[in-house]
Amino acid sequence: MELSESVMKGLQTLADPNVFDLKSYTIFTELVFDSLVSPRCESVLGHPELKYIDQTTLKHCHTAATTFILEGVKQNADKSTISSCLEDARFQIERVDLLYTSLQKNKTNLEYLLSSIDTCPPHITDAAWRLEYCIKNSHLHKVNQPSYLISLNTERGGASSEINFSCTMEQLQDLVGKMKDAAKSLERASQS
Amino acid sequence: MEEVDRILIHSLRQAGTDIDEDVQSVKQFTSELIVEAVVRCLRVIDPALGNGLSHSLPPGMSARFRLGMSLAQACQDVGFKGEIGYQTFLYSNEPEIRSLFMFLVEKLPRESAEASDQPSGKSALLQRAIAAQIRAQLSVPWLPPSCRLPIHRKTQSSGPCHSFHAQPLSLPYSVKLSSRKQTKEVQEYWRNYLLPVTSQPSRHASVPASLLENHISELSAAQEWESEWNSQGLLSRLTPEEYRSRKKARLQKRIEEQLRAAAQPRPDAHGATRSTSDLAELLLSFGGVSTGGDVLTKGTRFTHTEKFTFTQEPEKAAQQMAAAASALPSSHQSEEDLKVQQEAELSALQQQLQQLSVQMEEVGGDIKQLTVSIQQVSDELQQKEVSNAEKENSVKMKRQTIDLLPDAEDNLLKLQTVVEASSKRVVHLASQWEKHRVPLIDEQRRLKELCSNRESESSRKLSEIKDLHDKIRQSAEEAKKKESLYKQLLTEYETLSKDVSRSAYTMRILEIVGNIKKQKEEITKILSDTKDLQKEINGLTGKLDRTFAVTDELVFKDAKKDESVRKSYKYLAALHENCTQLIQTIEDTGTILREIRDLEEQIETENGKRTVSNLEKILEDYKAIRQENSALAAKIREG
Amino acid sequence: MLLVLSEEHKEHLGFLSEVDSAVVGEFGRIAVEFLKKGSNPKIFEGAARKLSVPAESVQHGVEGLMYLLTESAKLMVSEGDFQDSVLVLGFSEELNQLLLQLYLENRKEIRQILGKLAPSLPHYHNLEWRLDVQLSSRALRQQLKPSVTLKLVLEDGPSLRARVLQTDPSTLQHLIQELERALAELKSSHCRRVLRNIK
Repeated sequence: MELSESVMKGLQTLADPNVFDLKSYTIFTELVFDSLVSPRCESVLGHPELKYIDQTTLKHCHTAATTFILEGVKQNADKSTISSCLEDARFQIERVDLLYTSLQKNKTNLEYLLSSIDTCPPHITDAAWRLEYCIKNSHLHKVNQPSYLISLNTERGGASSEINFSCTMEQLQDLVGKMKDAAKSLERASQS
Repeated sequence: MEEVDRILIHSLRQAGTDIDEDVQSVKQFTSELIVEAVVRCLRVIDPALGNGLSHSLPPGMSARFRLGMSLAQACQDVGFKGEIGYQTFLYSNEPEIRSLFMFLVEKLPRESAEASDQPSGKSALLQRAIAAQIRAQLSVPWLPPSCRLPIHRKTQSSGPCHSFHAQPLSLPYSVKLSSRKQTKEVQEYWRNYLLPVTSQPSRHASVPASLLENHISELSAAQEWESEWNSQGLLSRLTPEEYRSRKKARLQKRIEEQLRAAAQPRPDAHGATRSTSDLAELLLSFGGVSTGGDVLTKGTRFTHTEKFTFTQEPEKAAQQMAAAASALPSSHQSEEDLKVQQEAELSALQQQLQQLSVQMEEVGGDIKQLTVSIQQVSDELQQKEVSNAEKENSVKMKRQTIDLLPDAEDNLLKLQTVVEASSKRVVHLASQWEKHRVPLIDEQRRLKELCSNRESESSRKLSEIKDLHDKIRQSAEEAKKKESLYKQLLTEYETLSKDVSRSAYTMRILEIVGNIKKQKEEITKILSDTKDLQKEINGLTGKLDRTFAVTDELVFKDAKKDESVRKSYKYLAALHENCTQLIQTIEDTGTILREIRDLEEQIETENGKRTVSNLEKILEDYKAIRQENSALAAKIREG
Repeated sequence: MLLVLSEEHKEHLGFLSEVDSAVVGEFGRIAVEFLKKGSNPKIFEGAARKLSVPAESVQHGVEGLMYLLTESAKLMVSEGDFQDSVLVLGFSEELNQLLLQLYLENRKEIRQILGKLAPSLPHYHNLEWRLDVQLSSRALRQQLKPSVTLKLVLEDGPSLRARVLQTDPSTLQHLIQELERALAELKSSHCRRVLRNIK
């Protein structure tokens, strides 16, 4: 994992026992994870235990730590990579373990956060149908044809919408057949 | 043979043959099994060849015969040298089948055999991971959107979707300057007003994107600088700071030139002095930067006015800053109040701004006029001064000549002597100069040489440094590659089921090798024993012959004299003959025994070929074929 | 069900009894052609010149035929009813047979053309699918996100419109189940009773 000079400097400051004692280090790492995961953390660095640390230093360390954590999650770094990186920044083993356990605890949330930065087509979540029997219309009498009205519920970025279309029985059979093909290929893929 | 059979059976199983657990040796293979095993092996070795063959014996006898023939042909195509035909498969005998299997197993490509059993490598790992993921998702039942648990939210809906939207972040450090060198205002801003990075973007969703992007841009900037420094910076023999500042100056100069070129078409070329156009002003400010290195220290008009406004109302500005800062966090205040306050502030500020700009314009006009007039006046002054000096000079000259005029002759002489003396002095000085010059030139040459030497030395070192840099980079890359490879191999190794058979095989192979070694030793021992025996026998025979010859001679000599001795000579001859016969008989017995053993072995091998049962089978099959033929004939007749 | 012809319609069709039956056959062919592909007034003038009659009466004749065919096709008039309806026009037996033949031959096609005029929702046209696994993105380098991307092509009037959608494995299975239930519904006894009784 490659880190920029400024991130490295911030981490080195964070590792320095003269700047952060163990207690404030623990509180600080918790705050860093909170600030990344929870939508609005107004006073990230206003914790009373951190009052004695210079605010500029605190902000710098915060930037470095958040960047490091995000990079780690982004590249799916394993324990050895993370600890070697932190040891390069002169972290003590104890502090590395602390950070790593917090990272593991928050990993799913952070991955969810990063995977949500994505674009995808509308996602079908459900389907509803209606069977109709057309008897006549303005242009044609004695039609007497069954037809289906299909409504697909879709979702995109939290907003849902519907796609409505009609089809005859043959067309619905075609549609279902193609979907079954897809499901079959999924099953095949799950067995290899 | 047991070991060989076990290995063969294991390999055949790996190739895809379905062999029962209780089949332990090749002897137990039935025709069906043989055919299946051979076809499977052929399919692995040469798919095109093997896929045309059925792996099960057909019921019809003639079809069996045909399959046997084609199998034999296929085996020969693959390269089997031994004798092979349909009978090899249908009426098998153990050694032939074993040699065929050994050949086929040898031919099995190692990787594909492994691949069919345990696909490995990155893509296979990925494939398996994908399969597992799909399985996991398929196993989760579908739920209506309203009753979804977190586990469903990830897979059964697209979830929140944000585009990768990065915003510039303001960071509490600077890459170029250490924090102590920053101005006090900046430091204060960092300490008191700068928001933490996670609160800076307008939407929380763009926090990760902004942070990641910021990091990447820092990294790539560092990389770019690195490569530039390695390719050009090092050769320039400057410190990084000097290189940077020189590059900056060069850039600024070019921009300035471009701007000047663009401004040239203007009719009044004195734009710089009159400073009427903005472009000229810009140029001026550029000039200031390129010479001074800092905009703020050099007094351009803009900075002057800026300073002017800021020094005029420092307290006010501070108050405004504080007000703005206090307004920032207290966003919970009622909107109305805030709006009113902001509007009032805005109007006040606008008024002030207008006032100031009016003032500024006035002052600017004044300044312009004044500078123009100053310029004119100073020009005039200079001209006047120049003319003044000229006039003074001429006046001096004239006064001297007038002083000298009364005693012209004398003065002329004096002047001549003075001229002569001065010319002499000039010659003297020249000689002196020459004296000094030679060592100086030498010195200069020496220094020049030294200088060039140093230059070549330094360029050599530079190239060495460059090489080293390259090497470092290469090694780092290699290390990275190797590390990733190591990781991959490690995961592969972990996923690999611990194949016990491999180690067992190596153990067994080692054992076999040990056995063979022991046997070899024994054989050599026996051989040497035999040799010794042979030698002994030869020695004894020689001794016997010699003893016999000596005895024969002695007895023969005496035999002429003595009758009884003659008799004993006769006995001796008879004894010798008898003994020779005896030896001959013993040797004959030995050869016969050996022959017997050979024959017994032959009988054994013949027995191994299952001739009787095979013959019976052949008879049966012959009957079956006849029956088939007659049935076919009957059918034809019917048809 | 008998067709009720208006007086004006009868008048327009009356022109047909004045010309040769071959010409009526040709008119019938033109009428069907027009129904399929739209009318072309130039043909009227050509035919009028050949028959030396005003172009207007040719036009009335052909259009009368077109109307007769569409009306009877719309109501799905039976063979006998058609014959009875045409009787009112007082044409010769040969002409009536000719018209009946024309009607029976083209009824199906005309009904199809009329069916397209009916108001309808976007209609299913085609579905294409693809199995995707997202492996990496700009913000997250290692991920496994299997999904099925579907391209649903809908027919909306004359134009085709494609919608690209995606879904996950278990939802896909749910969709299949749901739509199969829809298909099975058509075979249920209730549905069959309705289909049988409304004829």
